[in-house]
Amino acid sequence: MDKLVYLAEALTPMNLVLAFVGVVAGIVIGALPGLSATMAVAVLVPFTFTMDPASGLIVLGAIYTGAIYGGSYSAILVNTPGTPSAIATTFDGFPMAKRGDGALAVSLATLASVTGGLVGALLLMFLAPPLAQVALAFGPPEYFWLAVFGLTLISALSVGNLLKGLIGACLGLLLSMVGIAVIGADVRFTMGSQVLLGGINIVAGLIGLYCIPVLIDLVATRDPHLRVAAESGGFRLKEAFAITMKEKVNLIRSSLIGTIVGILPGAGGSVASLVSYSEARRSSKHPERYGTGEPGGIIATESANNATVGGGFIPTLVLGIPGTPPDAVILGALLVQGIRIGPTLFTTQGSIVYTFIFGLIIGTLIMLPVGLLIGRYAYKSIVAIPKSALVPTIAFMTVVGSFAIHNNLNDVAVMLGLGIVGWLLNRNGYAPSPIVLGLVLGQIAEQGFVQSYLIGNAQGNVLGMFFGRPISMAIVAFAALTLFYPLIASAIGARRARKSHADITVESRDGQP
Amino acid sequence: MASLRKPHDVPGTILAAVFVALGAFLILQTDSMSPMGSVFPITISVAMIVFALALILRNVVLGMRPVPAATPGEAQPEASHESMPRRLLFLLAMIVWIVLIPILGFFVSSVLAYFAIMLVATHDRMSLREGAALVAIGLAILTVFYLVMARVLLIPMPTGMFF
Repeated sequence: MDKLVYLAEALTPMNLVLAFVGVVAGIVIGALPGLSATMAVAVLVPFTFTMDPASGLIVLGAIYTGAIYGGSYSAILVNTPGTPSAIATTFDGFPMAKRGDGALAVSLATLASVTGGLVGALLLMFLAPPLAQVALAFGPPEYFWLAVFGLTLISALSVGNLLKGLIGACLGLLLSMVGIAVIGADVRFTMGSQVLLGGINIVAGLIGLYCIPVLIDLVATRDPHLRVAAESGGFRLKEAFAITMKEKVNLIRSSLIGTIVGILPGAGGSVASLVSYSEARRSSKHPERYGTGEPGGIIATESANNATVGGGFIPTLVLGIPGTPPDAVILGALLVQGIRIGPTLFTTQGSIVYTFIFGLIIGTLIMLPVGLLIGRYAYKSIVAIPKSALVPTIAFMTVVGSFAIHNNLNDVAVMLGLGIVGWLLNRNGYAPSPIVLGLVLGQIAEQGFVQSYLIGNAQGNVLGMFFGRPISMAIVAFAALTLFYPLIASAIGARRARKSHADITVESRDGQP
Repeated sequence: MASLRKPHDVPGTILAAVFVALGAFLILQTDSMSPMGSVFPITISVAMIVFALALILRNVVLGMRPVPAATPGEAQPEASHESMPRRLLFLLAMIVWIVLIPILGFFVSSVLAYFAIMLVATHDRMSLREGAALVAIGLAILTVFYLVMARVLLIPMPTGMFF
């Protein structure tokens, strides 16, 4: 009953306006490649200091959830993820938009994001303390295997040439090692340049590898950027809803994966969406359709990355350990507001926390109409804008976005350099996604690997450290299943085909006079 | 009917050879690193070399297989209408843009680069009115974004000679 009082507090006109403004600001910032959810929250945090704590938190939560969702627009419409957590949205979103189903893809992303966001927020409300214990059970080996699990997606992304996919992933992993080592602080592969001491920024790499090749190919032909479907009017909401209902298992599973991965400090939306995409593809009846414009791929990634919002708040509020970078910024805002983080937070300052969680739910619900409207106009604009204006505008955004990461032109140069390399590799069959996957997961994998090795060495049981822990083994089993599932499925299919062929032959022989 | 051997994926094989050389070079670079800092780069470099050698081997083996001859009347791939000079001009504009930002300032260099790229991306003749509309839209986009970045988000944009 108490919680209804907090719901009423969250529903005051002022809080509703703040949630609306936050969602719109988040969507717009998240949709621009290079401007991440972390930046959106960090830039707008000072404005919340003058508000009362619950209202300030509601607006920050709305910005965060809106920015994570907004990343899907540019992923679907220009093949460039607005935020790293929308990387996997490009795999099926852009092919859908290219064949004229952009409006449907945006509607699917909206429905999935809203569902994922609601699942994450509800789990935050009801299961925060026990779920926070999950985060504590994860050690370096589990993080290492989780990164490996994400990397198994390479097998899905490299249809036709797994070897090139694996080489690309190694290249991405090696790119993630440029700069100062995460363990040991060695200066690596900088070629004596101070510019590379800070390493290759993931967002700059992402913009370069995904966006620049698209622009290079756009200027080369007079073909339109996107086709418009014959009956593309409206949001195609009914169709999107029907597809989402058909994919309900995928939707719920991805939302749960997103929440769990969000709880793990440092993993974040990119890992959550990649793992969910892997699982969606593995469990699909038509895994071969993934990567060619399969709606299930968008549903998996978008529900997972929005579920990390609620999931990330679980360790942030209960343990004071931020699950994702924007959580770290919001944690700072909480401390400024004088809120004492810890397991007793939900009882001692329940009014603020529950009002905030209800605000997060309201913000996520507001995202449905707002997201559909903005998405519809974004799609119409991208389709209507002539190439002469679209190409320089996207080029400008790549420069602005990569500059805004650290206010540094070196990131812009790195972005362009990687874009040219990515274009050359892409023309010769080396897709950008495995490289990006390696770049994103490299640091998590290395940190987990080296720390596990050091602890195992000190205990005299390196193998036991990697292969003797129950959670690790469960992740290894999932990773192996994901990696070898296509082979197992095709072997089973071939066996069935042989068996049915043999049966037909026997029947036809028996039927002969 | 099958014809004689045809090299398989020559550019892909050449790139694989480049990756073997790159892996070897990176392993050499780890000499000066601590064991903690070098264990992961060595592992991944070795993996890259192994995968690249496997790809080269695969392409050589595929190249030694006879390929079926094209049947008469079989559709030939359409001639490409892609323009390489436009691609190179676009990249040149991007490089010059980045070089000019600290000299001319973010806004002025962006205006120059924006319209240079606009020219490169324009394939069809357009009327004066259409051209003027595109220029106006471009200037509006640049100005709004610049003001949002510099004044609202308070990102310190490079100023150079102008702004």
